[in-house]
Amino acid sequence: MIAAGQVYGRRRLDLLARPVIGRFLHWRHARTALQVPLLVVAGLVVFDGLFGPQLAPKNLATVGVWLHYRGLVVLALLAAGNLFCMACPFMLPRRFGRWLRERWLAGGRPTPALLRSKWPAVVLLVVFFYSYEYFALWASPWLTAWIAVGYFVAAFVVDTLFRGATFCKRICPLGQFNFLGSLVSPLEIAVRRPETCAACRTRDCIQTRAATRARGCELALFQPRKVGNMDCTFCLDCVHACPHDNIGLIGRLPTAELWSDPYRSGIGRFSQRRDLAALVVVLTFGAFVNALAMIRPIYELQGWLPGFAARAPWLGLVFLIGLGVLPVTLLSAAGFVSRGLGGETGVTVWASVRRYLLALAPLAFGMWLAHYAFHFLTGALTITPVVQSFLADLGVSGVQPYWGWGPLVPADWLFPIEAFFLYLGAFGSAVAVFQIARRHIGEGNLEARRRVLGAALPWLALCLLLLAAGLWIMTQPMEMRGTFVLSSVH
Amino acid sequence: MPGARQFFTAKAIGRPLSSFTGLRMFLAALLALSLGLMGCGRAQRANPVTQDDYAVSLAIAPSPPVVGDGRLRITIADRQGRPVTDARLQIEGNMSHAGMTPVFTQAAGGEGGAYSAAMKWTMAGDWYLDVRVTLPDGRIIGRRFEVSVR
Repeated sequence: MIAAGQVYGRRRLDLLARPVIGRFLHWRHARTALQVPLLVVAGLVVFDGLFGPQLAPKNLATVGVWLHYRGLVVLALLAAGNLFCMACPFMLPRRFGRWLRERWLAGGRPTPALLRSKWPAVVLLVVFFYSYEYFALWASPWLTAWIAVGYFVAAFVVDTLFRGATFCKRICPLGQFNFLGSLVSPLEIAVRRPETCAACRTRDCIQTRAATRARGCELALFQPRKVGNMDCTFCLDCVHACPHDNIGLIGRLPTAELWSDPYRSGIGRFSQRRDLAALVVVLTFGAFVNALAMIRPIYELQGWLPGFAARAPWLGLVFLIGLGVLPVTLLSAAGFVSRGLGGETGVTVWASVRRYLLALAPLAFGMWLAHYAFHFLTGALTITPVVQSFLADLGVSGVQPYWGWGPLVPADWLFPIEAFFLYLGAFGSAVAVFQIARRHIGEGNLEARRRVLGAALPWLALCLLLLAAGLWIMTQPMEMRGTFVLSSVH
Repeated sequence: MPGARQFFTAKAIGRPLSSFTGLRMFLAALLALSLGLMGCGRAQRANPVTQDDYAVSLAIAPSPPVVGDGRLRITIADRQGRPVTDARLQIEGNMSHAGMTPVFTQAAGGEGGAYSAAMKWTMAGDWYLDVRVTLPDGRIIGRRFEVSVR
């Protein structure tokens, strides 16, 4: 068995061992210190969304959430790791819920069977993607604020009633997005010296100890068997719990955790998780559907098709094709051909699909990155006049909004940046596909190498197809419509 | 599996949920915070739409509007249908989504109650045009128009 932390070769970086940042992250209240500012921001987002001007470009809720939060989350995932979950403000009220649970609910209930997989998150993600388009959430400060309120309430209620970080691990759609994105991140929480864990008998990293007030991982990730970033919220509980200071925030080769499919603590094997496969499908094809909905050809197509003038049936058709028909067709075709060319006749088509499916994660993340980076780079500086306007409306004297602020980079730079992110994602996926094929088939002789190439080719073709689709979408003029139809929502 | 009611009863957890002092305090604090924030309110200094007796209409050229340069023609009449001349019009165009800088312009003319302004549509999609009219007697009226740019 390959021990966690040894999979990706030589260690290059351990942030927890660095002088300043390491000391800060080892501080018992480090996460709280990161959460409190975001809680204040979330409070302002809710306040302005409910009581501020109901014009998206002028409201902290819509600018803060749909431009800055999304943009900064994907950039943080690319540059470091799951930093948003680390600083998640929704988890602060949850602490009170945890106190309630331990004090009054006899420690709470175990997660019910219905919630013991990622299926609830899959359903919520589809509902969210549909609602995002149907209610034009990007254009409504009021609805955006209520989404934030809903998040606080849901996290509080679920984690008050049930043990085991049920909300983070199985329900939170944002968390699932971050888990997928963090598969390509360059940092992970991992064991420093496996031999220290081998000699450890107390297993503090997975247990709660009242005596020391240390709390092991609530998401059931046992450090010695933890592999990669899936389900890891960077909460640092394990770091604080480990009496041997044997857990670090360690640099690694991005996407490398997708190359093999070992048993992962708290997760199992990727290829045996149907719910995880569904999550990857929704987040992969959802990336393209979400971006497709903001460009002109989709509206022209809607106008061209009779019977789909109304928003609900049109979006229903788009989602049915984009998240149902196309994924099933493309994935089963890739799996079928890959199985045949790779000579893996012993496995079913869908087993073959699940084996390679996670390799699409880098490309999916590349698409989200290109999309969100576009919005962030075109409007990041609008936060300045929005904050100025907010302060001015609250009566702060001497503040005048200057509405000339807008893009962070010249317009000419946008497409090259988007294309770079897409190429990066496609490259990561292509490498992962080859590595998965190599590990399953081996490459001892010429025949094996031919089979590796045959098994990988259909998936590489799918990657190229998705890359081309992404590039095409990014070259189309942006045209976000549909707001007025639903302006009566609030 | 216990039912929902049993979940919260003394048998399951020791005490009924409704008697939790801590929860009550938390809910009371939430309520107080909400009421406090509502009391503050974000006073919007420039409400884009006013209730008045004036009729303000908008025509756009080209129609439908397309990305690039366009022309706005705004007509104002009072309750009796008489054209309003010598008003000053400030126009602000905002897209419906976050991240786009607003476009400002002013309308001139006023002959026969019709005012004309140049407008640059910077992107296709849904726009809100806020028209702020300063009437000859100094009163200010406002209208918001929804425009789909192609």
